[in-house]
Amino acid sequence: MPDAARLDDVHITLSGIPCLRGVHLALEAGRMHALVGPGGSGKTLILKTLATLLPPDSGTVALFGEPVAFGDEDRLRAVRSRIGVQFQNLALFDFLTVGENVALPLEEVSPPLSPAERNHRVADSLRSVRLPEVADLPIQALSGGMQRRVAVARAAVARPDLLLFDDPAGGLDPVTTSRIFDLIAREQQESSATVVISSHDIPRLARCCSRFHLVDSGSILFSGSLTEALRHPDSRVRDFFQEVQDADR
Amino acid sequence: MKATSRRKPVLPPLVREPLLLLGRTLAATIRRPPPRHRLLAQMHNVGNRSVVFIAVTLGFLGLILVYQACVQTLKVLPDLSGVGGAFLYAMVRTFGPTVTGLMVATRVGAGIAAELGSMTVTDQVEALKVANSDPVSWLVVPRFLACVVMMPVLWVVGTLVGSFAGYLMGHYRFAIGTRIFLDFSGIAPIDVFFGYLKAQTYGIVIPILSAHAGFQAFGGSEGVGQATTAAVVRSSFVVIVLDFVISTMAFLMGH
Amino acid sequence: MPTGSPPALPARPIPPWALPLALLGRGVLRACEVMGGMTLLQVRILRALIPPTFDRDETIRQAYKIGVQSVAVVTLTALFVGGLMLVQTGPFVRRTGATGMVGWGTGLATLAEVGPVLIGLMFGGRVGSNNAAELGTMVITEQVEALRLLGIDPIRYLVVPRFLSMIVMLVLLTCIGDLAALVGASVACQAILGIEVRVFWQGLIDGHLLDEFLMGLVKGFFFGGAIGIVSCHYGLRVTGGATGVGRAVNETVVTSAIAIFVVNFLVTSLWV
Repeated sequence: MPDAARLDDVHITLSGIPCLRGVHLALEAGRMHALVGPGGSGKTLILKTLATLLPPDSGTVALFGEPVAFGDEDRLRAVRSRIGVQFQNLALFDFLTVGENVALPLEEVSPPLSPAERNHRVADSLRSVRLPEVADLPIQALSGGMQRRVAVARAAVARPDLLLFDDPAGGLDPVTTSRIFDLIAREQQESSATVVISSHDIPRLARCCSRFHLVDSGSILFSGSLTEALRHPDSRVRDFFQEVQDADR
Repeated sequence: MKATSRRKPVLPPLVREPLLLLGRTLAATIRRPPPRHRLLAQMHNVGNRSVVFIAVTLGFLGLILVYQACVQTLKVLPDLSGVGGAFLYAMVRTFGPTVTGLMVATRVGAGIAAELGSMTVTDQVEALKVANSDPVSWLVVPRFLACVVMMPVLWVVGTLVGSFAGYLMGHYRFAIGTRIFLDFSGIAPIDVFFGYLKAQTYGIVIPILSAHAGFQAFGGSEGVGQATTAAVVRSSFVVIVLDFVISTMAFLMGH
Repeated sequence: MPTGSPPALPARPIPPWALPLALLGRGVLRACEVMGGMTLLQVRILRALIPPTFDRDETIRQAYKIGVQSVAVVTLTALFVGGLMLVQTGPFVRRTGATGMVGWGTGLATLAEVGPVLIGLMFGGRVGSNNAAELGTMVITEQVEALRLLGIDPIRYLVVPRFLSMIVMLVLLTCIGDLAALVGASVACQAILGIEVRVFWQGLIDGHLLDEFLMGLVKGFFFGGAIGIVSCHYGLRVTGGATGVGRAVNETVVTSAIAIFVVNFLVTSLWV
């Protein structure tokens, strides 16, 4: 399998602070990847770079086998139409209804969808996150967990090839967290998209993700399977993943 | 908004970037006009919801201008017949458009910057970009068009309310006759035109400066507060400078 | 958002015929709530002032910060305001040739009315909104509650220093702004009207405008107090994250502007 996305020696400095310091990351296509690491290590920045929202200061970003041309609006549009993102802050629009929020990524697809087809896709997508019959409600009427599921539905609705989830379980109870991860896993099995999930919940990630990437102070410390991580020579890697075994016992 | 011009920038960023945004807004307006209901919602927000605020502030302004004018005139001569005409002239030419503009910069400009600022810091603007939707076309164009249309309307409302409040003060406190106070002979069509020109210019500048300040927000609630402050200060300042420029232009053209 | 809606909303749906009445009632209730809240804040401030038990170091720090924030924008604005007021007299001077009146007329309008009001509006936009945002951020990050837990009264530590320094600084800024406006006017006088600067200043001095100048400073005093109360009131009541802070800033600048025009009317009509 080729790589769906590749970061090579990516450096990003924000307001004078080096945030990403030489990130090397290869995401094998058609798999579920987990992006883990302590808070402030740069997970969100890596996801935003993958989403083509943050041009790196140096290094290359390659998506679907081609380097991303950050200056070229037309090519950027073409690439972005194959990406779906669930943002950490959800980024749902409160001036739109739930349905209109989910329909947003379908506005600019080519060829354009008929209104009936679009409504059908939105309804499908909301059903898949177990939220039928909320399409006409305003966003504010939903609870935090429901809003997270709407954000997941919006990310996946255009059937993108690369799906990025930034902390889809943030601030949610364990039951809802499991449910959201199951939804993402099912979505992935149907579409065989490349999925990246950033989260702290390693035990639950372990059930659905096959590849783990540990981010530590702005670079990737480890990439591989969970078994490899637990046998890794570097004690920092072992310690970080140890939690999983403790939880399994 | 990041400007990606490769040439050496001639203008400082605070001038260049809003100009760039204005260009992109105009292009987006022509390319894709906003849906009716969203435009109407923004017009309601800019226009209807500012009416009371503008009526109150311009009303008190009219009262006090006539009061001062009468008191100062009475110190020199006992004849108040000229006050009405001079007041109405100043109202149409300067105070009407500019104080309305300042109030719109305060209420609407701050509102635009607060809304777009909190959308920026909660990633909503980036969500639009990923969905290949143009944030300018979605967020700026409806607000821009609403301000362009409603600013002249608010100018008319503000000028009328201010003039009427001034009339009440002149008529009831200083006993100036209605006919004598409402002396429109000093106001030529060109004066009304200059008042309109000012209002229309403010209506273009305020939403662009405020949207630009909103998009500049970063870093949570503090960033939103700073963006809102920047929007109010910059648009108020530019309103006053533009008033000065247009008034000088008018004077040098002989009006 | 449930946090932003007024508490006085009835739970029952409103029949359509009563909607205007309901909207009016809601508006009145909200206005009463705001007025009441501000009056209460004013009372609390006065209680901290007599005898003075507020934080003096914080007051000086705040005054310094406010001055640094606003002196440039106030001076620049005032320069243009002066020029603007002068250009307004242009057509009159051209008609009547009364060049001696220019200094007096511009000086009167600037020192008594337009100067203090516009300086106050800019001050409200810069300092008032910044203050509301700052206090609002402190509220939503629970810093204000942390102060209370430490036994520090937020009114004495946060509000009174800001209130006092806004009053003092706005009076000083009105002085600076008045001067800048007169400089702006005299430059415009020479450059646009072609009347000698000396004639302008002579007319200004002959006008005996000390009384108007003092009235402008009194206005600055009350505007500063009003902006202080308004911005602290909205800042301390913020709920709901970044959106709430933006809304508080917006409400602050709007209410400050109303307060400035109303106070301006009251001061002038009581003074003259």
